[in-house]
Amino acid sequence: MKNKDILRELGNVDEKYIKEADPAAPGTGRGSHFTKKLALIAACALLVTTFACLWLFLPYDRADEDLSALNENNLPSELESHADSEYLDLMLAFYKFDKSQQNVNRPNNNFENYIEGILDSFFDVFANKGGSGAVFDNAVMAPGASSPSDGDYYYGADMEEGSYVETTDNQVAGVIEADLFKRTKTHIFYLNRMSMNLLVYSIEGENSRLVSEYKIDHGYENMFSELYSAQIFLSEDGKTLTVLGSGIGYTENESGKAKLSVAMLLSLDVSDPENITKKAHFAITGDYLSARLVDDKILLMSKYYVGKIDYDNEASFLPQIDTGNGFEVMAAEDIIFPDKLTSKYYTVVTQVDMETLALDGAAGCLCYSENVYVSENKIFLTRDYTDYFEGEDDGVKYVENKNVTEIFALGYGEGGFAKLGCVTVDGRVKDQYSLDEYKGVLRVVTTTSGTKYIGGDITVNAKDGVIEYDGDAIATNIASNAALYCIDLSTWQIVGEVRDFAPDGETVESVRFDGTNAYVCTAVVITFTDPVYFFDLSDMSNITYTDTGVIEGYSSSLVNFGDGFLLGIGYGANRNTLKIEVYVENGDKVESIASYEREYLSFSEDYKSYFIDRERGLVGLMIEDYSNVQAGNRYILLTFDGYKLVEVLDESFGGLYLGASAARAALADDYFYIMFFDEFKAVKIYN
Amino acid sequence: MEDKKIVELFFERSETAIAETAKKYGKYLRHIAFRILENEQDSEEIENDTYLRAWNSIPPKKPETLRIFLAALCRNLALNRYDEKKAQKRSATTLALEELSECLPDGSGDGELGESLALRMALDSFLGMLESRQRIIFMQRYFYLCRIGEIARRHGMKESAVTMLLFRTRKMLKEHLHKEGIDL
Repeated sequence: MKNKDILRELGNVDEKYIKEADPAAPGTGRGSHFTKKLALIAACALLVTTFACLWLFLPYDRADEDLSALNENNLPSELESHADSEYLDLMLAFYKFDKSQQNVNRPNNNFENYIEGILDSFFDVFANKGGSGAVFDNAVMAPGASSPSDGDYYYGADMEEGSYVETTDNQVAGVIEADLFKRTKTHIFYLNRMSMNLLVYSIEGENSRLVSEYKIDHGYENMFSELYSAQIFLSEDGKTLTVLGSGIGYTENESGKAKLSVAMLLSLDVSDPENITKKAHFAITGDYLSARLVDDKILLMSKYYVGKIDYDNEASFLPQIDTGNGFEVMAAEDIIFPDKLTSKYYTVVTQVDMETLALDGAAGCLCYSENVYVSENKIFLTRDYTDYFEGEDDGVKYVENKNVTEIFALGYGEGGFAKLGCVTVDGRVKDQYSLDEYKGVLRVVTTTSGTKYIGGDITVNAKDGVIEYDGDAIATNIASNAALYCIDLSTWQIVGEVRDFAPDGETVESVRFDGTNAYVCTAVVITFTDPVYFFDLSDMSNITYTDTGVIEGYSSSLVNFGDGFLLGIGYGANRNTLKIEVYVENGDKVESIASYEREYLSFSEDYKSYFIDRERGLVGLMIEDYSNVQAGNRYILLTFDGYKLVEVLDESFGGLYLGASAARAALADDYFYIMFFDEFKAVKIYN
Repeated sequence: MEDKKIVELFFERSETAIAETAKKYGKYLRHIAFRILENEQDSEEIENDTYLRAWNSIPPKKPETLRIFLAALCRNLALNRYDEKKAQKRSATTLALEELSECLPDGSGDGELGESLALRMALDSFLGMLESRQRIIFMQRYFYLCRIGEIARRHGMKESAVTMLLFRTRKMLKEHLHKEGIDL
């Protein structure tokens, strides 16, 4: 036996062993080992990739808690210990709202949760957090007037020496609005919001002087620190002045002193203007919005936002009121809220006695906005949100997501507040002047808009109103337009309406109601063009209207100027041009009969900063003049002689540009008095 | 062309059978022959001889795996040529023969047919006992006459590890042949 025999006989062994060891075949060696390694690595990589993709993109279980099933007999665990609380219904409403917001805003998978957040941070993209925060300064200083109110209004029959003289062009006669400036026959009271000084001037023509300067101070740190929120009321007898505004207060609890934002009232004895003293104070948590004075009762509107809720601490979700004995949460019966919350903002209405600031009623209206309209005996609050409507166009399904406004009314008077009713209309109101009550009918003007989804597969998540649609559906913006509604307040039913009366794409910029008439200015703000519409509301089942057609500029304020004239104050061809225009209804149209324009300036849209005297046909306002290097703040006064607007005064207030909204003016005898921060001028304009 | 169809051509005595076989396995067969003979001219001759041997074998033989059938034919022809030439260089074949000589007490004497059959059967049973990788490496070294380095690369092993494995396997073969009573 030779070794070569082994070698040769190996060629005759079972073929399977030869085949198994074939170097050229896969799986038999280098090809085999290397391939196995490669296969193993590839398999591991595939496994890791698969798990990573699953972890990143697998959708979260959206089997949300069934919020609709929760009630007082089926409470979530967080509220079980509060089953006996008087605030249980409110807590449940907050709980459902917070949960629904979590479901709407939460990411669908880990990729959205982690990676998108990192990418957003990297590219400095900020997600919209929602919420319509209170911009109370603009809400307070709303332009436009809705009903006639004489420049000199005396809400007391006796005109005793020192008695009140109305200076504010109030929206509703008898419902006095707070302002920077009030006066009696002998004194002017002006609040300098920059220094927080109450300035008192004598009305003595060219001998007028500063009588006293009173620093607003209540002992709370930085009280009334917000520059644009402070306003004043003056009592009918001219002896009590109430300062209103936002500030910082303190509350005591087990943890010690806690700082909080408050809306405050401070009552001052001004019977002797040279010796002003404090009388009383009142505070409520939140921010000052606006106020009304009706028959010596102050209606204070404030805004309170609920942040993170601790159900064991009622102060975390309830406004608190301090009547002099520390802050206490509002009672459950004073809280008003809808079945389904749309926000966590309260508009709180409190009624206090002007003399003593004693509380005489409170209502915390949850979800309602800062647009508050006060009529002779009702307070109208608005709540805007989006709602969806389903329908079909020629057999094709569509869903419209539209802005709507719920208008809710409280009755006020002796004994506090009473719920009256509510109605929902399409669109959003611009401000308090978009609403007006006249002989039991509420008139409302809104800007309508929304989004329409048509075709494809469209579904609406009933829990949170989120509309989901596939690639075949078409989503289009519903062009903005305007609508006018008339609501019978005895039935809360819409009894008359005009929809889409403006050109598509326009928004409501100013509204004025005048008895059975309504004036509406709509505009495309970007292009500075507008028509002004005149509505005849005498027959609500057949509302008719005319308009000026498209004209250059738009009016941010519309004013009844008396004798059938309508005054528009606003912009010309651009944002640096002031345009004041007088309109008149002429048959089937509204036409401009007089116009004044001035360029290279800016002015305030704060209606309260305008001086309007219908009897004498005067209109005045402060401007910031940029026309030359020596310009600055100037006060211009115009007179309308029935044909044209003529400048009668152009008074300089120095080279500094200060906020024109702080200017106030008054006409007494032949002198025109102008107050602007710490400056005061008395100018003789009549001989 | 599939092996099955090539075999059918052999059965049909079609001359395209050789052409198709050469097209598919020519390079492979030259490679096997070259490993043993380390000469291109001789390898080409062995390749052609392999086609002739296949033509004469098919039919009646009907190989299931044509590749392995041809490899065995080619290998044997190459080894015969090797014997004829009695090459003295330390080719892969020489080295392999030297290694396998460990499995036998002496390398002298011609084997008889009966011993060949017994050896073949003993080798079959021995190979069946081995673990898969060990068997593959053994066959790659002593059937395919692959170099140690080549085997090491194929299996991701060090050459020393392959050498050691082959040493242990030869030792096992020696013991197995002893148990089987092969020319001890």
